[in-house]
Amino acid sequence: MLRKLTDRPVARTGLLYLAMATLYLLACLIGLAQGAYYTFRGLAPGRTLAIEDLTCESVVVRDHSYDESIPEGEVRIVSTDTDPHLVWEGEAWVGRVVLHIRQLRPATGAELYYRVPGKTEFDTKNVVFGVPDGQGGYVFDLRGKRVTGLRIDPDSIGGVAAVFEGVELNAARPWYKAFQPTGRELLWLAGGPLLISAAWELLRGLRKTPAH
Amino acid sequence: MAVSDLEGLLILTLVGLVCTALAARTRLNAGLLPLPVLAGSAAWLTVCGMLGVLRPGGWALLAAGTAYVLFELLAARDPGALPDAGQSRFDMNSRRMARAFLDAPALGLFLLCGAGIWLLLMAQKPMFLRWDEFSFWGTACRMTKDNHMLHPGAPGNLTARSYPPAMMVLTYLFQFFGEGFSEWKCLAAYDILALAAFAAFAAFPAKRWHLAVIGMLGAGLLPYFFLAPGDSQAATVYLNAMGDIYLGLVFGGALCLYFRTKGARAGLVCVGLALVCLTFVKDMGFAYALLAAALIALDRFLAVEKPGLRSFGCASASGIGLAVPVLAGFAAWSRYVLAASGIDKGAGVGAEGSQVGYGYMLTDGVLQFLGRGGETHAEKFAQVKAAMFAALTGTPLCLVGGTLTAAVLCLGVLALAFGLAWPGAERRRAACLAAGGLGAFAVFWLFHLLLYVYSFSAKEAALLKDYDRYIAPYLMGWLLAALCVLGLCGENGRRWKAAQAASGLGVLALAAVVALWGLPAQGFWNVNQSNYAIRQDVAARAQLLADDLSWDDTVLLISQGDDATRWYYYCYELNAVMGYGWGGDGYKEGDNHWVSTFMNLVYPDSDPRELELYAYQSEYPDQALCDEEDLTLFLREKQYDYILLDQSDKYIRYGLADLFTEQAPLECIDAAYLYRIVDDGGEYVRLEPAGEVRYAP
Repeated sequence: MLRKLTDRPVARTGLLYLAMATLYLLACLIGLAQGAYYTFRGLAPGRTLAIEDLTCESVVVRDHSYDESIPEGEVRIVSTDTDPHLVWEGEAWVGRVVLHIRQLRPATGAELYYRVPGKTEFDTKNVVFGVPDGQGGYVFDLRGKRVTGLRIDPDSIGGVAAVFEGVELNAARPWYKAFQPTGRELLWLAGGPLLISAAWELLRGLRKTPAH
Repeated sequence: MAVSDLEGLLILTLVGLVCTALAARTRLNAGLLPLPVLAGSAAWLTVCGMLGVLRPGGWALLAAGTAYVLFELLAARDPGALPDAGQSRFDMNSRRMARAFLDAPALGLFLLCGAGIWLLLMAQKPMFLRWDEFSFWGTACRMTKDNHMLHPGAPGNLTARSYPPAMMVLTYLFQFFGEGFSEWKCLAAYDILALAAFAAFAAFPAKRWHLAVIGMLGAGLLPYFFLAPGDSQAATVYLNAMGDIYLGLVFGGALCLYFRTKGARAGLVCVGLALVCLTFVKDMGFAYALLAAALIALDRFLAVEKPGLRSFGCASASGIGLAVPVLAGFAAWSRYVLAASGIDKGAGVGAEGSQVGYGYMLTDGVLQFLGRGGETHAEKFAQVKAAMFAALTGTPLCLVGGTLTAAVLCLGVLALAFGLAWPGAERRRAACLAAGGLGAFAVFWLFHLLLYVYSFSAKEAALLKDYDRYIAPYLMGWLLAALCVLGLCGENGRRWKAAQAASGLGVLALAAVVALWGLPAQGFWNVNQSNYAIRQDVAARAQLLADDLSWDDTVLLISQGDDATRWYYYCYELNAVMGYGWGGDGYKEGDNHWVSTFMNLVYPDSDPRELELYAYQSEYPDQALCDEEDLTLFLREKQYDYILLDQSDKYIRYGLADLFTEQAPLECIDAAYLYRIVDDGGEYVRLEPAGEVRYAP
């Protein structure tokens, strides 16, 4: 019966969509389970990193002791070129990161790079773009990744001063976000089964005896 | 989400219905029709705009489209055809239209992808970011929508008012009903035009639906393929209001329309509409349209069963028939621009003071190429010629190489099509597109060489500025047409299985190359919202000034530390004319200075104590050494109305203090401040705070 279904393009495409949706849901559930497992093992710390926990590259740190106009207890960072980095070294399972920051002038290009086990460098393939959280900060949704380091680029224009309030690891995330596809996943979900079905039909047509 | 956010889907639905109705009437594959329908709409709106009735023309277009669909649903098709008993004429006609729709998977894919891109961009709301989107493309789209008129005569800050309006009127159509201008709707409209070109390429019949799907994917990847590896522009594909890619896609799409309709009369009308639209995309579109007409004429001459005198006559008629509307469109646009803005497009090329006529450019250019040209441009011509030849292999134009590699790829595809096609007309088609396409490319390349010599500055010509942006679209369109010819072999060719296999493998290879070298980390599927912080900041500041300014005012922007980005953003956001600044060593007599868009005013003298105070200014890009006297001389000459202080510093507050009637801010964190320029003949002009938003020391 399955063969009969797969011989009919509409039925086959429908089956493929069903399969794709099922696989996606399974992947999301596995991700949730993974998160729960790592949280249970204590490998998904929910903590806020202070500036001392980070290595600053092309970023200078200023506080009241340096400049009395900065209120006591406040930490300011200033990017000194167009590629500033705030780097955290550590192993963890990370779901969502929030950069609590108030930039004193508009800046663009907040990005988070994550390093996966086995790699020594940060890779442009492992990057998440910051979504403004409405309070000046940025939210980076890694959707559950095992990492050995994080690198946050707070801006890409340089000379941007900001009030730094911390980097929150594993910030609270609504449960339904685990099922929300990224743009790339959405394209695959929407178009992948149709493409596979078309490729299947092409191969089927090439295998058939000529009846053109 | 506002209801007006869905207006584009309404237009898309109407386009789909019109295409289906036309397909039922003409028996053309409905997937071929989105391109001529959109192209015809753009041409109609352009004509209406030139007549000063853009909005009524839009209503008439929508009404005509709706009326036509109703007509096809309700009218009797054949005088003698009666509906079956119990079946109404509506039932009969709607079934006919449904069949036309189902027979054309490319139309369904066009509508699905169009709706998908609309919803995706609606959710993400991307914005313009590239400078050229503000110097012309995006700003012109906004001016058209805000003023319901074509951009040459509309108020706004444009550096190129004479550019044609096809993309502008198309975006106008897709946000016809809503209030105000939306950048994301503009980008979605551009993408829908691209999808229409892809649909023309992939317009296979229903039994070859799989080729339509694979074809749409392959065509959709082409803009990613025609970028150098690692090019950051890949992130802006399908998020870009510049018209270059669409030149290539409409060019290729028009050729696909021709090849797929096999020269039928209805098909030639569709091609004609596409070529007229191409003429109105960009000035270079005129050249593209004429080249396409020439290629089609060549095909009609040689790629027929019996080439001869008769086919020559037919080809000539077709070529002239296609060229005349293109020429008429270009001429009409030139006359309109002259009337609306005073710009004479026929005056020639080059900057003021060194302009040359088109006739001189062509004749001297050809003579220079033969080594017999005049002395004036000889050296520059030699340099540019050497650079253009070197760029054939040295400048990456696509993921697998430069210009030569891309051309060889097109020829390779056509060679394959030649081998897989039936002997005779079909093989001659592939050969004509190969030889004709190469010849057309040679003409195109030579024309660009002439433009670099006679139109560009020496510095820009030496760098072959934007070479890839100008040359790649032709190759992309040519490759699209070549793949279409190969695809036709897969449909009906002598060795259709091999052609289908080659097509499938080709798309797989293209996808692999793009995935490995060309796919950016961000694209239309994951717009990086943090990129828009500066745009949003400038928009908010400009909004605060909206009631204080009008298009009768000229404003000089001072934004210390700017690299022109904020200047361009203000050009788009502010409802006043943006004045040009200057750069150089001073503005007094004998000082070396030049016209600039933005300006960074820096401390001019060499007093080491003061230099230490203003040492940070050495970081500013493109500085103007400017004291109070320099600025006074400049403002007196230009007679600007206001200064807009967008970003200040110590030099503005302390170094230019005598100009300000009240203390200037040290920095402008939340707002930009307006200052009226008052000249009462004193030593310096005075800058008085103006507007609602004032700096409080």
